[in-house]
Amino acid sequence: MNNTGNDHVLDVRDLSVSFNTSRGSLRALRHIDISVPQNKIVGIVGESGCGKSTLINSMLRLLAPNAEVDAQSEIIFQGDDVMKMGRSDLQGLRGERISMIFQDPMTALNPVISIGQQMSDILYRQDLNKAQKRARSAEMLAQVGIPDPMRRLDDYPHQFSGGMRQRICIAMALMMNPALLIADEPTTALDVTLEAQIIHLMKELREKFECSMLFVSHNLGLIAELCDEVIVMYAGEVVEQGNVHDLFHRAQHPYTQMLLECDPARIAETRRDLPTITGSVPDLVDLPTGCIFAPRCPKRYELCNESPPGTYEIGGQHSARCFKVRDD
Amino acid sequence: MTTITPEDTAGADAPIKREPRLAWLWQLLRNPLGAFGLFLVALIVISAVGADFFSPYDYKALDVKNRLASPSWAHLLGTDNLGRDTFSRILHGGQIALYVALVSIGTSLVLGLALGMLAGYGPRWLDNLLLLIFDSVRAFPVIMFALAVITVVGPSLETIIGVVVMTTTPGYARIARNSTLSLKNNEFILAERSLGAGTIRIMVSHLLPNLIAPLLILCSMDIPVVITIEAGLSFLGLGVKPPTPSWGSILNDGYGFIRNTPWLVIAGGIPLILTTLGFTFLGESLRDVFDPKLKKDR
Repeated sequence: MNNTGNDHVLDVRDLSVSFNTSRGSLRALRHIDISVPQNKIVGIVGESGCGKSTLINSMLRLLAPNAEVDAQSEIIFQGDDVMKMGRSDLQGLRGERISMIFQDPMTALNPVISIGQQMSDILYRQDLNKAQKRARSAEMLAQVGIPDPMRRLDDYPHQFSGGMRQRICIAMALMMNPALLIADEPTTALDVTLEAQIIHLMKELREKFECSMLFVSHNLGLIAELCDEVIVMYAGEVVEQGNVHDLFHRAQHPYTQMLLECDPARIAETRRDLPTITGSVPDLVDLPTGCIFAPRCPKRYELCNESPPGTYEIGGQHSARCFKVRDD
Repeated sequence: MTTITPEDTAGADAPIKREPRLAWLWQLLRNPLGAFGLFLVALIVISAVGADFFSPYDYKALDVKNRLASPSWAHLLGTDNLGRDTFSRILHGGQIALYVALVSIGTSLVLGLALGMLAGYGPRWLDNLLLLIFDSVRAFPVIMFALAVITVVGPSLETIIGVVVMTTTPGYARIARNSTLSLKNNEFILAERSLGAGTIRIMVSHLLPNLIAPLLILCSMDIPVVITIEAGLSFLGLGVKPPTPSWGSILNDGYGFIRNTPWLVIAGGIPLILTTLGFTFLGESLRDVFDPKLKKDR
């Protein structure tokens, strides 16, 4: 899995992040190893609070001030270690080489600045005059399917619908033609028909702009539809990763299996109750000694409670963090 | 959605409907309150700026034979106890009032914004320190504080301006700080940072436009307050030094001679009322026009 070849845009190696809280150190991410290959879409799934957002925020070094990144952590983006970057390098990274789409398009745009101005602002790095910047902004709006873009540049965010705002956010993210696009649950705030449109649009634009994409979601159907590779996270750890086919058809980690069973879209017969994973996420301040999932795992045995499992290869790019995989 | 190509959008030849530069003025004038406010403010500003041009007499010229005269064609608002033309003195008093109001409110606005945003966006300890200072200064009653300062420094225009700046800045700073706090955790600020915007850029071009609207309204409504503070201190003889006219000192003269003529009190009081109404109406309507969040879809 830790392929260090040049075909990876992003390699995260042994990333651990903790937050200093009044109760002590909250270990939000522990020993994350993931990579994003060139021109591929990688999906990250996991329930709320599993560290998805912390992971992507640390890629841009946008963590809260009380966050602490362990010293051995490395985030290699196109050969540069993001963790060692200075302030000006980081500004060159953000928006230009990696850009991000946020969950809620209603709040992701400044409400008192016109769309055209906000888009032109992104182009500050480029030596263009005002009219050229406007033309470029309008062109990007057209690319994401905003009708009559030249006129709409002077409109304010509240004059657009939610779906249109998310399209504008996508246009803004792609403006500097980044090598990596991070999408943080970009369709959670939208309704289902819009969701399909936005996903279709993102797929199309990814091909056009030839960037890699990291797609965070808790919607398994979307991940299956859009992504080439999938990473499953649970309570701050990567529990399983592999290509989308292996993961959805030959899931090995009990958590992944249960997560798939819980997907309402996959339930065949009507029942009174939706399937759930019993128990709750462990306390990240006071971690269990063994496997992080052991307290909720139906297939656990003594070893699971005693020591944490390593990451074991299943074949090809597929791996899981579970003793069962090693034993099989 | 793929049918739109860049060629359609480059469309510089297509007629682009853009709102005319002065559209906001129309919107303001369509509102009767706004039009009235603008009229009053314009009246006061023009009369103050053109005081030397409009006043028929020198405001210092004494004409003791005609003291305490009632309005006539020779003296539009009559004369005061020393026979000076009241109309000329009102015009020049407006100059002083506006000067004090604009300089002190302008300074407070700039200072308040800078300190407030620093407190809201900066580290926690700085926030706490600045808040402590703001609240301590705000705890002084304005007039008592002004009296104390004037007793120490001596009465002058600069002292009044200084006192007003010191007492109004914390209010603006608090509003700027609170808005900054609520705005800075918004996703659009995180989005800005993820697009590579630096701290100064976020503060100046993204936070500032979001907080300026309520502050400008507040400023517009504070201008009459400052004018009345200046008039009040001058009334007490602690403001501008005679013979410089001020609406407050004219009121004081009128108060002393109210048994002889009511015209001095009327002449000193009416501009104060008109200014207060004018700036309040204008501020109210400007907010309706300028805040894009309140703007109706066109």
